[in-house]
Amino acid sequence: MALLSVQNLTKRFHVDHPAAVDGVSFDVQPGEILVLLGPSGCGKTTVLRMIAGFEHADRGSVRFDGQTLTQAGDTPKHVRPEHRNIGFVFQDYALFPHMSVIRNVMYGLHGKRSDRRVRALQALDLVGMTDYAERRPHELSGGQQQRVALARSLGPSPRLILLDEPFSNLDASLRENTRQEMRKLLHEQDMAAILVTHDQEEALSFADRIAVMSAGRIEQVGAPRDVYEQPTSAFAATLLGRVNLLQVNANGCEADSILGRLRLDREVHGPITVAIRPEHILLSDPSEANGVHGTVVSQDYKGHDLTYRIQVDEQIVTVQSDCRTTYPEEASVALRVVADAVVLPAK
Amino acid sequence: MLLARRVLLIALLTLTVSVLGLPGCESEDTPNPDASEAGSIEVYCGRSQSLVEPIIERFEKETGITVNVRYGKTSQLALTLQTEGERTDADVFWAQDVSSLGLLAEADLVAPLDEKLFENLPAWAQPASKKWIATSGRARVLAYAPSRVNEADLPQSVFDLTDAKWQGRVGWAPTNGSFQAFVTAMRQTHGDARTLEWLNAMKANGAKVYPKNTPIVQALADGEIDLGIPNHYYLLRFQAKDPAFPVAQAFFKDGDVGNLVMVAGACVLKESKNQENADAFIRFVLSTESQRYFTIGNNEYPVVSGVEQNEKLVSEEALRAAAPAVELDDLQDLEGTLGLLTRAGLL
Amino acid sequence: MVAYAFSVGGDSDPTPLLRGENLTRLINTVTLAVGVLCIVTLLAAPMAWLAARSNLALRTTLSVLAVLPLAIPGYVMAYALKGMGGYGGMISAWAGVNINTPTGYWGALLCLSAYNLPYMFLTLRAAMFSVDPSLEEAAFSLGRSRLSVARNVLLPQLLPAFLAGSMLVLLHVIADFGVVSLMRFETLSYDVFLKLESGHSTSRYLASRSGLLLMGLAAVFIAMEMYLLRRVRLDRAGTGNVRRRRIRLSALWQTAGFALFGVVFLVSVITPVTTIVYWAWPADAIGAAGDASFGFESNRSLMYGVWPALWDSIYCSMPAALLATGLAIPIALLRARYPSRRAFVLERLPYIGYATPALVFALSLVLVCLWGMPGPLRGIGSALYQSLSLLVYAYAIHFLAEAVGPIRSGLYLARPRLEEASRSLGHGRWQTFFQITLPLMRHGVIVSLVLVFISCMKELPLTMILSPTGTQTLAMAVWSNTEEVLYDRVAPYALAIMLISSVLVGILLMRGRENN
Repeated sequence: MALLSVQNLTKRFHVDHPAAVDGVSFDVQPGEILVLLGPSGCGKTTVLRMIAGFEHADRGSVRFDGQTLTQAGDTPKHVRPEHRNIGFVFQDYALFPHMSVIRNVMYGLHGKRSDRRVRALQALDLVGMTDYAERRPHELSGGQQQRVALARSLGPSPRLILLDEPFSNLDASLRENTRQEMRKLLHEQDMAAILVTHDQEEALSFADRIAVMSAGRIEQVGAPRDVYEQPTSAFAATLLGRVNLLQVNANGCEADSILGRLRLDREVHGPITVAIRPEHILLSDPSEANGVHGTVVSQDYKGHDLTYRIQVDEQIVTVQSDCRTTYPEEASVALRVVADAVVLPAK
Repeated sequence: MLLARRVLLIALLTLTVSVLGLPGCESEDTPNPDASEAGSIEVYCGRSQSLVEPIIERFEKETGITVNVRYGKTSQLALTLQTEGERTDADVFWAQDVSSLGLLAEADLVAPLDEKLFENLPAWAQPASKKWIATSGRARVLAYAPSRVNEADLPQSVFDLTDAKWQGRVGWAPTNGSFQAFVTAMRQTHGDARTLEWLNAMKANGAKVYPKNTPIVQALADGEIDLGIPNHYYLLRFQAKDPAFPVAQAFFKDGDVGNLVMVAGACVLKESKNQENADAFIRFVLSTESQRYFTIGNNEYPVVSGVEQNEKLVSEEALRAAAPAVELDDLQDLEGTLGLLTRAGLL
Repeated sequence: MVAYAFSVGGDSDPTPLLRGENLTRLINTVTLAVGVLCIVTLLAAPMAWLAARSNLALRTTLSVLAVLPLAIPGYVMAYALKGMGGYGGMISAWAGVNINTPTGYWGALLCLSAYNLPYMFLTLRAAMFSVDPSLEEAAFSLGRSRLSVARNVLLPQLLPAFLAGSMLVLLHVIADFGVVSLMRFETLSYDVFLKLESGHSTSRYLASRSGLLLMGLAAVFIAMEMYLLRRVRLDRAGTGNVRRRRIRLSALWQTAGFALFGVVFLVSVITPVTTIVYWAWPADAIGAAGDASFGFESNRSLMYGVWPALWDSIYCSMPAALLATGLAIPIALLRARYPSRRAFVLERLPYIGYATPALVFALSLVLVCLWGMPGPLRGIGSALYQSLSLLVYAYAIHFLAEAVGPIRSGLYLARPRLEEASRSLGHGRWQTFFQITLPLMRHGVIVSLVLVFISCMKELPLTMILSPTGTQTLAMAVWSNTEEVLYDRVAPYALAIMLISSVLVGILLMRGRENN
C-alpha cells in the first residue's frame, strides 16, 4: 500500500499559459526516497507545494496515509497544510529569526513545554546540533541552518518529508557529505521523502527512485541505475548526465553509425536515435587498434578523469576516459564503443 | 485570504464601534464628581481660561459649589448649545460678545433672570430683553503710535480713516468678534449702504488686516502701522508689562460709532437643572469683588456701581459721553453683518 | 463638499467660484508653493549631493543636523520668527534695534522652506545613494565630460525621487495652515479655516468653495506628477551599499559645503530654538490674573498650562496612532500576501487621505456631520460633530499613509516562506499570524505607532476644527498664544512639542540601529 499516491495532478497558474503541472502521477512507498529531477521551471517545486497543501490543484488528487488530502473536481477537498502532518524543508531553510534554534524545533511540537524541549533536543541530536540549541539562526552557517531546518521538520515525526532543493545553498564541498548523512538519517528513521532538485548527481546518489520531469509532465520513473542506463527519451538521457545522441538506421539488433557498427539493446528497424554514454567509448592510439578515427577537439581535465570532445565525421562525440593515457588536442584517436547503444523511443 | 479578510473585518468593526461609542466621552478640563453637597454647575465659557479661572476658584471656595467649565470660542459654544438643544447639560453660558447671547435668546434656550440683578447696571449695559446680563464692559478705541502721529492730527471720526493721508497706515481685524459687533452698530446708526461704502473705502485705502486685536497693538509698536482700531484693554495689558510701550489710545469724538461700548455677558440655560446655583454664579460674577477683579486686573469697565476706579481707565461719565447711541440688543444681528463683510470681500 | 458648495447658496449671490478674493488666494497659494519648492530644491540638491557623493568631512553628522528641523513644526518656526523681531522681540532686547522680521509672503516662504527642506534632502540623498554607478562609469569610459554625465545620466535617475519629494513639499505647502495664518498671508487653506471658525452657515458655504479650489489644486499637482512619472521607468539596480568612489573636495569646497549646512542649520534650528528659549526664560507668571493684591491668587507658573495641554495632546493622539496602525496592518498584509486589483487600490487609498489638504478634509467631515447625514442618521451626525471619536478617526485616516510604510517594511522580515514553514509544522493561520508574523513585524508596528503619534501631536488644522470644544492640545496652545502675541506663554508649549518629537525619534533611531 503506497504511503503517498498522487494521481493526475494538474495546475494552471494563468489561463493562457500552459499548465505548470500537467497530469502528474506517482506513488511513494513507506520509507522510500523519491527524487523529482528536472530543469528550472519544470513544475517540480509546484508538485511539492501541492502535496504540502500550499497550492490548490485544478485537477487530480493526493492521497496520503489512507486519507485524501487533495481532491479536485465535483466534490473538491483540500486539507489545510497545518493538518497534513507532512514535513517540509525549504530551500532557504525558513528558520524563524526571532526564535532560538531549540525554540524553532519546539515550535513544531505539541504538548507540555518540558516534553517538547526533550523531544526537540532529541531531534537536534539526530542532526548533531544540540550544542547550538540556544543560538539564533543568523549566528549559524548555511550548513548548520540546514540541519536545524531538517531537525525542525523531523521533530513531529512525520511519515513523509518534502525537501525543496535543500542542498543548493551549500558549498560544493559540503554537499556530498551532507547528502550522505541525510540519506542515512532518513533511512534510519524509516522516513519517506520526496526531494526536488535539478542536480543530476544529487538525484542519482540520493534517490531510491527518480522521477524525471519536464514541462509539467513526468517523463520517466525508475531506480537511478535504470533511469541512467535505460533512458526512455532524449530528454531523460541528457538530463542525467552527458550523453551522445546518434541518428542511425537500425536493422534488427545492429545499426551502422559514425562510430562503427553498434549493438542495440533491443530489436528495431528503421531510422532511430540511440544514446551512448561517454564512458562507454574507449580511446586508443589509431595505429594500435581498430575502430573509427577521430580528432581531439578539446579536453576537459578534472583531476579524477578527462572528458574529451572528439570530432568524428561531422559530429562531436563526448568521451569519458581515465587519465592513464592522454591525447592532446588535434591528435588522432581510435574510438570503440563497448556497450549496447540504448534505443530511444520515437517522440 | 480569509485570514487577512478577518483581520480587516475586525479592524473595521473596531473602527465602527469606536466611532459610534465614543461621542459621549469628551475631554473635560476638570473632573466631574457630584459629591459636593452644595451641588455643581456646568459653565460654557467663551472668555479666556487664564482670565476666568481665579473667579471660578473663588466662587467654589466661597459657596462650595463645584464648577465644571468648558472653554472655547464663543460662537462655537453657542453653536454647540444650539445643536445640543434639550440634551445640554450646561447651566451657564458666559459669552465674550452679545450676538451669541441674542442667538440663544431667540432660539428660546435661556431662562429668565432675576429682575433685581439689572437694577445696578449703567445705561450702556442694559439689555432690553433681560434674557441675559452684562458682566463687564469694553470700548472700541483709536490706538496710535505717538512717535509718528501727533495727537492733534488724530481723526475725529472712524469714517475719517478712509482719508488719503492714512493710506496703508491703518490696521484692523475684520474677522474679530468685537470688530463685527462694531460693524453691526455702524449698520444700525448709518445704514447698510453707508457701512458697505466705508468698508470698501477702507480696503481701497490699504488697511492692513490682522487676525485679532493684540497683533494690531503689537504692529503699532513694531512700526508696521500708525493707526489701529482695537478694544481698549489690549494696550493697557502691554503697558502693564512695559510702561515705555510706544503706543497710545484715544476715543474718537463723543458719540462717534467708533467709540462703541460693548459688553461680555452671561445667561442661564432654560434646560439647566441647577437654576439656583446658576443664579448664584451670575450674582457672584456681578459682585463688587469680582467686578473689582475685572476692572483692576483686566482693565475692563465694571457693570456695577461702587467699584474701585481703575486710574488707567476713563471715568464712567467720560465713557458714557463718548459712547454712541446704540442699544445693546441692536448688536445681535451678526448674520447680516457677516453677509455685508462678505460682500465687501473682507471674509 | 462638492454638493454643498454647489447646492446651498440660497440668498448668497451666485458669484463664480473664482471671484476676486478667491482668485487672489489661489494665486497666493500657488506662488507660495512654487517659491518654497524652488528654495528647497536649490538648497537640498547640493546638500544631498555633498552628503551622498562627496567626501565632505563629518557628512553623517551634517546629515543628521539637516534633518533636525523635522522636530520643529511649521507654526513653531513662525512663532520663532515673530518672536525674534518687532518691538519687545529678541533682537530688540539683545541689540537694542527694532527690526521687523518678515511676515506675509516672505515670512511664510522662510518658515515653510525651513520646514520642508529635510523632506527633500532625505529623498534626494537616498536617491543619490542608490544611483547605479556603473551607468556613470560607462558614460565616462565613452569619453563624456562630467557635466554632460551629470546632466544626461545622473539627473534622469534622480527624477522620480525629485518628483516624489516635490509632490510632498507642494502638498505640505498648500495644505499648511499654521504658518500662513501666523504670517498673515492669505492662502486658500487659511481662508477655509477662518470661514469654518466663525461657525456660521454662510461662512461654511464660502469655506466649501475655497475648499474646492484647494482640493482641485492638490489634484492638479498629483496629476502632473503622475503624468511626468509615466514615462520614467524605475529600474533599480539591486540594493544600496555599492562601494563607489567619492568625489574629493578641495579645502575651499569643503569649507563651502560646511558653510551651506551650517547656514541652513543656523536658520532652521538654532535661531528658532534660541528664540523659544529666550521667551521661556523669564519664568514668572504673566497674565491678567497674576496679582495677589486683588485677593485672587493665581500662583500658577508658566509651566502649569503645559500639563493639561500635554494630556489633551496625548488623549487625542494615542488612540489615533493605535487606530491608524491597526488599519495599516491588514492593508499592508493584503497587499503583500494576496496582491490583486482590489489590494492595489486599497493600498493607494491612504495616500488620498494624506494628500488631501487637512483643512479640506476637516471641512468635508464637518459638512457630513452637520449637513450631509440622511434623516434617520442626523442625530448621529450632530453627536459626532466635534466629538473625540471624529477627531481620532480624522487623524487616523489622514496619517494612515505614514503608518503603512513602516509596517510594509516590517513585513519584509516576515516572509511568506516563514508562514508556510509555520503551517507545515501544524500551526493554523491565526496562530501563525500571532506567533510568527506579528512578532517579526514588531519593529515596524512600533515605528508606525510613534510616527503617527508625533504627527498627530504636531497637527494643527484638523485639531482646531474637529476637536471637542474646550480641548487644547500643545499645538493649539502654541498657535493661539502666538496669535495673541503672548510670546512668553508660547515657549513652554513649543519646547514641549520639540522635546517630545526629538526624544521619540531618537528612541526610534536607536532601536533601528540595534535591530539593524
